[in-house]
Amino acid sequence: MRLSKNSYHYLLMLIPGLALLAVFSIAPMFGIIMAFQHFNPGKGMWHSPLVGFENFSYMFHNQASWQAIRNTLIISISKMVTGLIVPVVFALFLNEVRHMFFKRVVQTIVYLPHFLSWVIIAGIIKDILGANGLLNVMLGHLGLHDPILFLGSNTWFRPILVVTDVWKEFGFSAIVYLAALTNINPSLYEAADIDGATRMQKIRYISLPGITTTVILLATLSLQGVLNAGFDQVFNLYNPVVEPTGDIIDTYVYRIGFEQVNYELGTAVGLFKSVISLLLIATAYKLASKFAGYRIF
Amino acid sequence: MNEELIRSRYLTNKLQSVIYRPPTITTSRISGLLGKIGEQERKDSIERGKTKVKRSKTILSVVIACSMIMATAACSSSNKNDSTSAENKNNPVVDDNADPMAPYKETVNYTVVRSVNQDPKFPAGESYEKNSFQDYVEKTLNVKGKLLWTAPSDGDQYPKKLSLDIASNRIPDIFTIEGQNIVSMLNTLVEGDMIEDLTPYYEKYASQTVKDRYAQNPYAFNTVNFGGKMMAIPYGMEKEQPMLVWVREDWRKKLNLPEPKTIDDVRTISKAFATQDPDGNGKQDTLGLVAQSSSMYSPAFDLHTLDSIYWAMNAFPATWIQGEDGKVKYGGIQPEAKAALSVLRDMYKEGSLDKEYGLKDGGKTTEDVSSGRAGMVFEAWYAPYYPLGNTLQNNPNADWKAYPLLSADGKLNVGSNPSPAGYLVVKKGFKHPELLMKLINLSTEFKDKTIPELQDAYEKYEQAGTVSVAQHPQYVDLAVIEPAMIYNQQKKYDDILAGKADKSILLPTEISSFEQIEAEMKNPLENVLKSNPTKEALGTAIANRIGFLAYNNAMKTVIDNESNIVVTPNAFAGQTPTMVKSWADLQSLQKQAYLKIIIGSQPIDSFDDFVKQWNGQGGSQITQEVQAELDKRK
Repeated sequence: MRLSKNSYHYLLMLIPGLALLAVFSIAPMFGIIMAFQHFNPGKGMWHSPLVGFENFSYMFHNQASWQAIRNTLIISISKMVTGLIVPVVFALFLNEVRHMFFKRVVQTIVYLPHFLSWVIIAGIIKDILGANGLLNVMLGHLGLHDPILFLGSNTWFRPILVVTDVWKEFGFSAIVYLAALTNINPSLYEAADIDGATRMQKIRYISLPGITTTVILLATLSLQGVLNAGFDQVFNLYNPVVEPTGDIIDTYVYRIGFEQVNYELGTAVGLFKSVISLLLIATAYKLASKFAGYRIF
Repeated sequence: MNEELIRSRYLTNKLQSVIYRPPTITTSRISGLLGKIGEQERKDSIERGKTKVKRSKTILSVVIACSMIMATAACSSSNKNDSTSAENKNNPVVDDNADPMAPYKETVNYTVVRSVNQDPKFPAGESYEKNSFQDYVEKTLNVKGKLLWTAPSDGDQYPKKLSLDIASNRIPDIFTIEGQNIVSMLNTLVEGDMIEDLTPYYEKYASQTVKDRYAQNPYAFNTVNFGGKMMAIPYGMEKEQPMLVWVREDWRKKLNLPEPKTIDDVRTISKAFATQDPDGNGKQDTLGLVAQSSSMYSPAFDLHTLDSIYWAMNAFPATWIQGEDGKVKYGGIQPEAKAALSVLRDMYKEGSLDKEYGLKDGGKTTEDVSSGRAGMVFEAWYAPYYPLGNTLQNNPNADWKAYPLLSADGKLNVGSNPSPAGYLVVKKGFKHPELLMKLINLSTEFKDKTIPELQDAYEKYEQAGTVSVAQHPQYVDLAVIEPAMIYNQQKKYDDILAGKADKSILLPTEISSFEQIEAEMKNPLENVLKSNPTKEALGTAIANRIGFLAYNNAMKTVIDNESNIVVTPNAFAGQTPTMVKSWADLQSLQKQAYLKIIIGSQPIDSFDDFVKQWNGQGGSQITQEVQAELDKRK
């Protein structure tokens, strides 16, 4: 890339951003050395004894880490798949609504939860799903006598995570698809009308293909988040009964690192997660550039 | 809502002042507060937790940047450390001729951090930052404290914040270790050579009162002894406080149920409470026994656990039990624990244990109790102060009563010796480690109200309506109390009420509770209610009832059963090498296994598999290590 004389000030404007990156993202990366140490805060990071891969071998021999990894994968993949399908379907249908005011109102309402913190949503969910909550009272009227403890059930916990996550985020993701839908050339629909296509056929043969690139792009990019099963959400809904199905890598790291003061093991698990995530980002990028022509470099 | 908040705060405060162990009560025993407030706080704490993670990165990166730039010169802070400790060695550590409490010739600066009440009521002009007590400390000793940060004592915010400071090796000169992981934190500090050996300073500077009080507890210094060195000062070491069964007496009478003498009685009552509509509103909205599962059994007297049942069955799930032959075993894997679990499992099944047991933490059970939904909990004598008193605040017609739950062979078991609620430590290299002892001496005097100059301050604080942490808001706050203080207090009350003594035997600190008992006996809450009282009169009557329940009901029950109390001490409260790595996982394994058995998702015999797993995953190794440690101590 060639720089012309009067574009240097753009580079200057980069400096604050780079400085932030250096201080907050690059410098702390030296901390990963802790994963290979028996970390002793008194001696600090540079003088604590190195133990090689001991922390990692402990991690891999430990049932709880595997459980956390397995849960993370199951939860986040389910979230990714549902979180992809629901907003697409929703956007396609909402796009068919001709009444502009209604369309706007719906759009606003469904994307509002995106701005609520999990802390609040978790409180609401707990109230709804509790033994004396709304749902159980309704089930009771339908003749179900024993209340179901949804949040204390290893069968229900993961579905609840997925459903609530999708409920919170689908409205927001749908905006992207709605934007993509407006970019489709209206003459295609006119042509279809002349050919006598039904609404469903128009969706099937015009709208859907029209946003496929966007769908693929978002799908591949979401791959990088496959090890992020949603700390805020799980942490707020979690209880000891559902540890077997609900304990994810992030909550596990949080527990061992901060609550049990086992900094090095926490770092090791965190590092493991970062490495896998890096591989996934690289893969996602390759796939995105191949299928959707998305490139940064 | 707001009023509720203030009330619950007040009660927390009150409780803290009474048993005088602020950090434990607030962190582990009372995790969360009344109702939605508690919920919100927990969430706030999570939010704060997140910002703290970011902060740690900042600290870390600054430290790193610093060390990269200066390479061998190292960070200024560690440099200072070295120089001060060098000076320290040159100075005679203990000057034999000095008066222990004499002011320093030159002002000594020290930094501290402390946990605080979130909604303290201070007299005008006083705060955690500036107050009469801290002023008195600074004037008397010629010192100058600096409060680096404070964190709420509710929940685990203080220990998490401290944990970050420890990880980045930026600890204050003097600080407390509080929370659920005090042992591993202390070990980390000792292993990192970050804190001072306090042995010589304790000997030389601790006041006679302080030493006498510590001497009454044979276990006091067990956990701070590292190869003969006293690395920390433990606190919260009073005499055991047995768990009591608290029953909604008004419900029990209404349903004509027997007093809870055995576990079977407890089951009958609890089940009746849950199913027979004791509040008479025609709806099935009451609960029997409620308990929390985030702390399931504890050596540290957490709030609303199921300890009473375990202990009444001679099971001690969290205790290292040393037999007479010197052999140590872990209580959590013994057949007694299995037997207790099978009872709890039946209770869950038949509905005499709350169906939502697995989902509740202490905040949630506190909500159940306060709102008047719950009919039974297990808690020590101070329960009326928090949270049972909340029930009365919401419904003055409610009535609680404490009963002892004895084992089949007539013992009132207590599953642990009083283990420390926290530790005070001094940063390695701080020039005046003896200052800690001086501060402890002064705090103890504050608590005993023996300093004439502060009488005004005491009154001001009492008038402000708060007691609590804010009563002694000096930066370093550890009053060493008489271990049997509460026992002695109640015995005096008993004597006075029996006409064997008069009120002159009471200490200044003991008078107000006795006045409450007297007032309640003269004019019980029920009578006050009939007389159409004003809001203030009702408030006073409720406060009197609460004081009465804590002392003349609960503590009296304990005194009456004193000969039955059998303490099973926790033989080992430290950390062995294998524990460092595996203990957390083993604890989680145990918790999971217990929970699954209780809520019935695994058969009772899965206990045997759990024991095998526990031993296989490091448990038997740890048992050997603990045995070796104990043998060494002999």
